[in-house]
Amino acid sequence: MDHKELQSQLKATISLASEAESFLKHVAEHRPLDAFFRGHLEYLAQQGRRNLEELEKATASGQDRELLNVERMHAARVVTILEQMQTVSPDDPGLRKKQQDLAAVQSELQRVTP
Amino acid sequence: MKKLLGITLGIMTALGGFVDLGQIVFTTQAGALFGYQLLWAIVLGTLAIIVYMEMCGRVAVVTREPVFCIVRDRFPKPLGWATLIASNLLNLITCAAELGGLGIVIHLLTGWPEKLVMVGITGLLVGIVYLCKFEWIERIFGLSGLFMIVFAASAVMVHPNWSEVARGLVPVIHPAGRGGSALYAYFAVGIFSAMLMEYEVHFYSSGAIEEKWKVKDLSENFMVSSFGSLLGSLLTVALLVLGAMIFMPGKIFPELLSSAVMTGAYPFAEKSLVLALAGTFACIAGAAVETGLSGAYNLCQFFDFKWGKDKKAKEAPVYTAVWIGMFAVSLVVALSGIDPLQLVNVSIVFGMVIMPFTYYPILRVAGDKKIMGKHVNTKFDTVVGMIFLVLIVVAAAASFPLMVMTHSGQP
Repeated sequence: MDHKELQSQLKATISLASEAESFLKHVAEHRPLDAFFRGHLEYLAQQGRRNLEELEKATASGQDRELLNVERMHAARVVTILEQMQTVSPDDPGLRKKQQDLAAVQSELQRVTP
Repeated sequence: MKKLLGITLGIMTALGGFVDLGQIVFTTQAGALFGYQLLWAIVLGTLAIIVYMEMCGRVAVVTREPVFCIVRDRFPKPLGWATLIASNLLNLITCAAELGGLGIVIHLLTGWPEKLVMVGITGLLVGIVYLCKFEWIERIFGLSGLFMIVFAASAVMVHPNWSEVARGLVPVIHPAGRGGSALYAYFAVGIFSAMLMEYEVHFYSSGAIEEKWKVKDLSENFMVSSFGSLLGSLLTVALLVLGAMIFMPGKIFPELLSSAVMTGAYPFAEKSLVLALAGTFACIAGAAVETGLSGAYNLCQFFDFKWGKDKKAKEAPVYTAVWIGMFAVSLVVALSGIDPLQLVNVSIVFGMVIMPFTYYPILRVAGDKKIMGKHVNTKFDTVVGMIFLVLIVVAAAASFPLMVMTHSGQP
């Protein structure tokens, strides 16, 4: 994976975390249908797994190797958060914590963005 | 009242073309990346489809021949064959993508398994098309598509800056936002072309004959094509605005149908989400029916087989077998697990490449006084048609290189 592709993957992970966080904010204000809540999170998690798969297959050299490792770690974290959220209801108080976790992933990834 | 309901042909044609699975996600992505800066592409696409939809409706009424008879008569045989194969392949890919999209919408609404839903929905669509007369098909899908208006209401409720929106009517060379000029050009070409998808004019011209329009109905033809297209365009603008307002600030690139659907209910509560899902379902189902039937229309018109939705299956056996076959093959493709949005990406680019072969013969016949008599194109029609044809050719030529350069529109 070259530097440009790594940056593109980085943007994709930030975008996914940001989308999931904004969805949780929306859920807190307007409770959605249970099926929609689970379904949307399921599709977001699928997308996250696709991103992670790409990163796991990828190789990089020099300074990019470190960036690739950081990206893999955060992409896996986003997938885990999304998978965990699928098992709870839209009213679950624990979602607030997940929202904070997703915000943390974004800020950490933005910090390493070249 | 009958005249008023006749407008549903235009609504179904335009909603199935403008607001299908691909366009819903694509336009939301364009808004998320470039804000309102691609509004002009929607306006341009709307004008082009109004001009050509009116033209092909007029040609169908005057000559009693829909688009594919013209393609057969006007092109050398090999080119006619190539256009037929390419158009029906496009219909098949699009129909498969739409069936996949319907599975997603019902899964989001009920939680039922997607693949099982796809089988059930395909059966339902085949049943509706088989049992209903043409005018009822267009009424069912045209009128239920109006649920999509919730997206327009949502776009107003998120309070966009309207003067900034208006600025989007002018194309820019160096766009602001997260993508470069190539990505901007890719989305511009994609939006313009998706509004001109071939199956819209195939379906519309066949529909004009199915509805037995006469020369005296030509004024209605203009009204039907304009109203349907303007409504489709309004909803497309709403999707762009929602993409800009909801996703752009968080640097989100929405890649899912569920993300785009959610924007329709963003400022409202649960019930509007149901409306947004219902509207999306109706438009995507309309597109699936439009592409399925277009496949049968194209083939029967090209080979001069009997065709017509209002004929009994025994009277038009090839037509009936082909449209049922279109749904069956599309279902198999959809069940194979290919991501419907990937299929749609392929169909948009593929559609762009073959687009000139659909629109060129329409322009030629509509401008031929020997064929059209007093209903021939005016000079103005011909000039405007030529300008749009040039744009269509440019878009067709640019589509593939832009797809490669931007990795199918990835920021």
